[in-house]
Amino acid sequence: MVAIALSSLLYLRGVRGIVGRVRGFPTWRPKCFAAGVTVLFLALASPIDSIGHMLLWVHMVQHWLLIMIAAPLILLGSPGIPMLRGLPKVVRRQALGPFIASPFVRRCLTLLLNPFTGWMAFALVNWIWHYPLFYGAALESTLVHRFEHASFLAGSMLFWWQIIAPWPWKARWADAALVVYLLAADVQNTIFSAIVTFSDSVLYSNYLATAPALGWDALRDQRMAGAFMWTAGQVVMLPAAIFLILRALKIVRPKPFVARERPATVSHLTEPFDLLRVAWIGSFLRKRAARESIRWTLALIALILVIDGFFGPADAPSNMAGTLPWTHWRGLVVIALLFGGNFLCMSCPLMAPRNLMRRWWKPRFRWPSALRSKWLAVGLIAIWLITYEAFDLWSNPRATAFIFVAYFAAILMIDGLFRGGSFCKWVCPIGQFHMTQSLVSPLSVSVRNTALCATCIGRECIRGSGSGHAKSASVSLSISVPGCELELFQPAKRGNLDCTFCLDCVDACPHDNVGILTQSPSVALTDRRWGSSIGRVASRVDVAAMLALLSFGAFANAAGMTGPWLDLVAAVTNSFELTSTIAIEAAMTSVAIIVLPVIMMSCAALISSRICGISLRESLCVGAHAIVPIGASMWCVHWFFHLATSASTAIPVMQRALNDVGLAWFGEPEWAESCCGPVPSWLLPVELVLLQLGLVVSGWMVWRGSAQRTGRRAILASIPWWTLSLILWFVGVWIVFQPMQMRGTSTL
Amino acid sequence: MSFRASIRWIACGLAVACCLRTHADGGAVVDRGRYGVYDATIFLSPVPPSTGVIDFSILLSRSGEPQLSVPVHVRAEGPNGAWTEGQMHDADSGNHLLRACSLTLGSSGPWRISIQVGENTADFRSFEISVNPAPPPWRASLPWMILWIPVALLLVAREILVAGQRRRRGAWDDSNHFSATILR
Ligand code: SF4
Ligand code: SF4
Repeated sequence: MVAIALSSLLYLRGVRGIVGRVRGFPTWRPKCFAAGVTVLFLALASPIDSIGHMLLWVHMVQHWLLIMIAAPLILLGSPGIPMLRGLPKVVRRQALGPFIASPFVRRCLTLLLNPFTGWMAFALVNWIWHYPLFYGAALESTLVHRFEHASFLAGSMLFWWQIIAPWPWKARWADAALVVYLLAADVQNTIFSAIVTFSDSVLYSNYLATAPALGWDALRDQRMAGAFMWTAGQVVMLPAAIFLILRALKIVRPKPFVARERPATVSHLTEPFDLLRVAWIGSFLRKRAARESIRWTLALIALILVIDGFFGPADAPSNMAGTLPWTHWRGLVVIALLFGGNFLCMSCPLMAPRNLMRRWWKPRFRWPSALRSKWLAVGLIAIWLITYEAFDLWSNPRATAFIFVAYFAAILMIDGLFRGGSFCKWVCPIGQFHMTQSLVSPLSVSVRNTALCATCIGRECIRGSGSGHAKSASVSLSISVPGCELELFQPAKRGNLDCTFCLDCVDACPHDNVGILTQSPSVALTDRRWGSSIGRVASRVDVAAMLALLSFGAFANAAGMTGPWLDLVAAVTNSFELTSTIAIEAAMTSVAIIVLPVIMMSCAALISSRICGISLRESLCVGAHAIVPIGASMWCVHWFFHLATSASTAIPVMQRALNDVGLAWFGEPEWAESCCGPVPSWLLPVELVLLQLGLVVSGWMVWRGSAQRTGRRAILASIPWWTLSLILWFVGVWIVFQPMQMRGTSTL
Repeated sequence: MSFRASIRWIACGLAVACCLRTHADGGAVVDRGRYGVYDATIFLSPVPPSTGVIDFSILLSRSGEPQLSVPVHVRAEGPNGAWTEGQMHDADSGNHLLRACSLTLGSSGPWRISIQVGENTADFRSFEISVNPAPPPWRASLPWMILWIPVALLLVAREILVAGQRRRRGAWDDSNHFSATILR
């Protein structure tokens, strides 16, 4: 189902711009593809599939639909080129490009798309899967059954490929030879059908039990199946053979191609996606007032949470401050980061009062040079992670409300004293988290046309400009649209580090040259160029420390809710005869996020640097950057788990809060909803896939980082970091199989 | 046909197919016979059964006509006196011809399954199944845990190909390739 939907999406994306405009791709091709996909879906996921388990002849109808209808129809849609074009550019060029250009891969394809291979694949699949032993196995196991269908489809596609020759491939054999090819396949189908039809015994014992239950004698069912295969095979193959004969005799000829007026266009494939150019969303995001309204809305919600946190019930599952920030907001954070970018900082509620204050109050000081690094943020992140575990912040609405208030006070104080976005850039641990994780996001605020920036004199994106979207380069003396407060100069901006997605640069650029464009996720992690305001980030130890802390923090934070961790905390607390687990939780978390990373990272960096002769610092930076994806995947897995299992907890707390203020329209709280629901069956596979995605991207980043620095010895230099990534992955997999503490839920 | 028309065609096709969608329950036949006036075939999944949730499905017919409203009761008696029971429902079955229920068989060993069809308590049959110990949970998810291996191998293959192409041409470049328009 997922594969069919994905293939259709790729086809649709790739077919755009060529259908009806390119010779060889007339307008009937997408129709054939649509029909083929529909038949495939019907064959695999309709009652035919269910009843095929009980009646042989229905199962044969299913196989016939797959091999004689769906496969040729899909090939008539010429899906190869459109689906390749439909892939993201980076996958098409960087991942598939070398394979497509490789002579070896081409030789393999030539062999695979040989008429002999096609014929043999078709016949072998037919005979092997209808052998009673294998047929029975497919009926009893869903996995084997799926494999059977996949091989039927693949075999028949190879077979029909020769006859249909989907664009732009040319048929290998002349039409006359293909008639023989087709008739030979028909003969083997006839022999097989005859064996099934004229057999005196039931070949597939499974149907002995099921066919009579539906009013069929098993042998009669089998004869019906054989007769169907016989005739239905002819119904497709004979007309195809007749068509080939007519074409060989030049009685039917292809219609002359008449191109549409507009030439083929590929702009949607070559230009990067730009969110600001999407209708509605783009024009909404470009409005400063619209962005500000999001912040104020969230600030209002934060205020409600603070009030409920301080004055509502102390029990976390009954309090909005005990559920919404920890279960729902964090879940949405990882979804936004995974599929978009740092939209969390863009909509940060703290910015609403801060921006209001800045209207009247202009700060006078510059952030001290001594603090112009990430070390302060590293310390605050560590304190945050330790405090979260030690004091179980998620279970304490009062503490949550206090943190909100402290946060508002901190930003007003710091940004009231210091110019620019000092709080966001140097202090805020949550902002650092968003910015770090958005290094692997697919969207980034960046310039549309770098050549235009080279001729730009005003540089308003960093200096600010006089008017919002003035399309002239004139700069007003009084700056009404600020430039980047985080001191990022767009043409030299690298990735999302330090970018809050505030879009001030979009407003300020008079040339409308800044957008939210797609970037190759994670590529910024191996970018060694100098970046505006962040310098050579790939060699900065403070940034490396922050990345490593957040990556190891992901695993420590998730492990903290597993049964074994909680048992260990209890055991150690008892052994020290302590009455509270706070000290032990704090000590264990410190070990997990500070001691262990220091030991493991140092060992890996030491080995890697010794082997390859690069400096310890360089090696450390390679590793710290490379483990960001696996860390990001663990954050995703952890927070998405809470969202998926406890999303309904929002309903009763909101009902309770509304009831408390006399608004009983939404009824009495449904406390049953605040119990965590059953873990959906799809969640574990999704978690495992996400972790693997993180592992693969981390492994790739290790390789790229090492290759940049060590050249030929990159493999040796990578081995210690690959080992570390694998260890983290194993820990992640171990975590997802553990019994979890369902946070923010009641046990009603 | 325009691009929009292509979308319409494919969307309509998938929508029709989705409406007709249903699951097959699969599983193995474990018993077949007469229950009073009914013919019944019992399926069980997973195969082989292991401790944990087991799906029982029944295909019930009378003179070849599927019977979907007759009550069916399942009782499972295991080693050490453990037992569990349940009623078969249409809703538990993805296959419209079957009725199903899920029972949790908590221990391994022989389990006696008794199925009563209809209200008449005499219309029941029993059969025995052997329940294996459940494999560790990670074993069931193994296919989901090894996907990274082929991807990693493909990445290695890509690197080897790129290195080869660099050696031959100086740098990886698709511009002189027939598929350049596709790749770009
Ligand atoms: S982004 Fe705009 S303002 Fe900034 S350098 Fe480029 S053209 Fe100039
Ligand atoms: S102004 Fe700076 S922080 Fe804001 S979106 Fe632009 S680059 Fe990012």
